[in-house]
Amino acid sequence: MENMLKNYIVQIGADKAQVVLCKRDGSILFDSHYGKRDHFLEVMALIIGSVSATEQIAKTMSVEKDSDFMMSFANSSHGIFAMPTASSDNIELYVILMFENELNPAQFKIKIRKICQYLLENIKLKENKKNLLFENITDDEIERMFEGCKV
Amino acid sequence: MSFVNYNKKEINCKIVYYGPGLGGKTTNIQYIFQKTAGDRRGKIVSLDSDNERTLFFDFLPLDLGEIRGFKTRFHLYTVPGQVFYEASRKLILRGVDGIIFVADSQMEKMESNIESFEGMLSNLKEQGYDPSTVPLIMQWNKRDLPNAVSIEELNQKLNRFSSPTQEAVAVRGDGVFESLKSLSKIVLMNLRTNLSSN
Ligand SMILES: Nc1nc2c(ncn2[C@@H]2O[C@H](COP(=O)(O)OP(=O)(O)O)[C@@H](O)[C@H]2O)c(=O)[nH]1
Ligand SMILES: [Mg+2]
Repeated sequence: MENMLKNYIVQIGADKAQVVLCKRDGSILFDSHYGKRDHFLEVMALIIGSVSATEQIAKTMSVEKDSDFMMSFANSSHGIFAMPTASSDNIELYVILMFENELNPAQFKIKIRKICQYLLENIKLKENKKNLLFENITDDEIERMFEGCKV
Repeated sequence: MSFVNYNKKEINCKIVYYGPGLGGKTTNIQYIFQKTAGDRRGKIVSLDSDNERTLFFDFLPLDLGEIRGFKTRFHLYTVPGQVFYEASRKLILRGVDGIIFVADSQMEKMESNIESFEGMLSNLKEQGYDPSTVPLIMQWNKRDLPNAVSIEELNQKLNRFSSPTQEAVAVRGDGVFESLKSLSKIVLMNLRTNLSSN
């Protein structure tokens, strides 16, 4: 998935923006590692919170049937676009695109739509999660996991 | 979210502090922030009002140590407590891997504890969870206050699933890490993956 998406982003010329793909619960599935990385997780939590809230507002306006919603917070050179979409096997997703010092931000509106379409058509994400990753974790292991982060 | 990345050997989990307004949720994560080394935690993102009431959520990313070769990152969220923020609470519960229910032990808060707990159950159901199977720790907070009810009463009125409990005085940090550690253990042992996929 990662490589396919990476290639597609380059192919449509969206590689001059930071592109992030996440599930609606906030887990980040893909990140193009472009641009500023300060407080990446915090910024993402805020953006994902805003998109979910915005999407929810759209639903209370009973316009959810219109699938083409995009959240946009931008001026003529910097900004964020975010769009709800899904994978071809129906995992609900958000695509987030952030850009800076851009002469033509509108091009990214087209590009984010293309990425959404690409995901809908080409990307499968469903996993058959049946095995437990860990069994019998001990209290000692938990202590050790926390030990390293104490001040 | 419980996102396990085999290539990077990384686990991401979403932990939500849930409970009535002013129960001590934000205090819990502020204490964790203070006691965690700078390179292991992010900033606390707080969307709050002038009087420090949580408006949408607080968020703190926490990089713990390794467990069996996997780097572990917890994404800690708190929900806003006030009754009218139900819509926000629903959103924050999306993809939750474990919950610390922060109950306010004060006698006059029993009603709001119960209301909040019931709300949590119906919000979880709405998100497609069976609430009885979601990893949950009941934190009995504000044990320092003279008007705190007995542990028996809290258990009887709130502990629907006989979940593990932890007494706390979050302002002093008592019980804060203990709650998170107990929850971590349950959350990690609940992680499911498809081992054959990688
Ligand atoms: N006495 C006492 N006060 C507490 C305790 N934990 C939190 N508080 C106070 O309760 C108030 C509300 O806490 P806060 O964390 O903002 O509650 P939240 O609405 O659940 O996020 C603050 O003034 C805290 O200092 C505790 O264990 N004992
Ligand atoms: Mg709060």
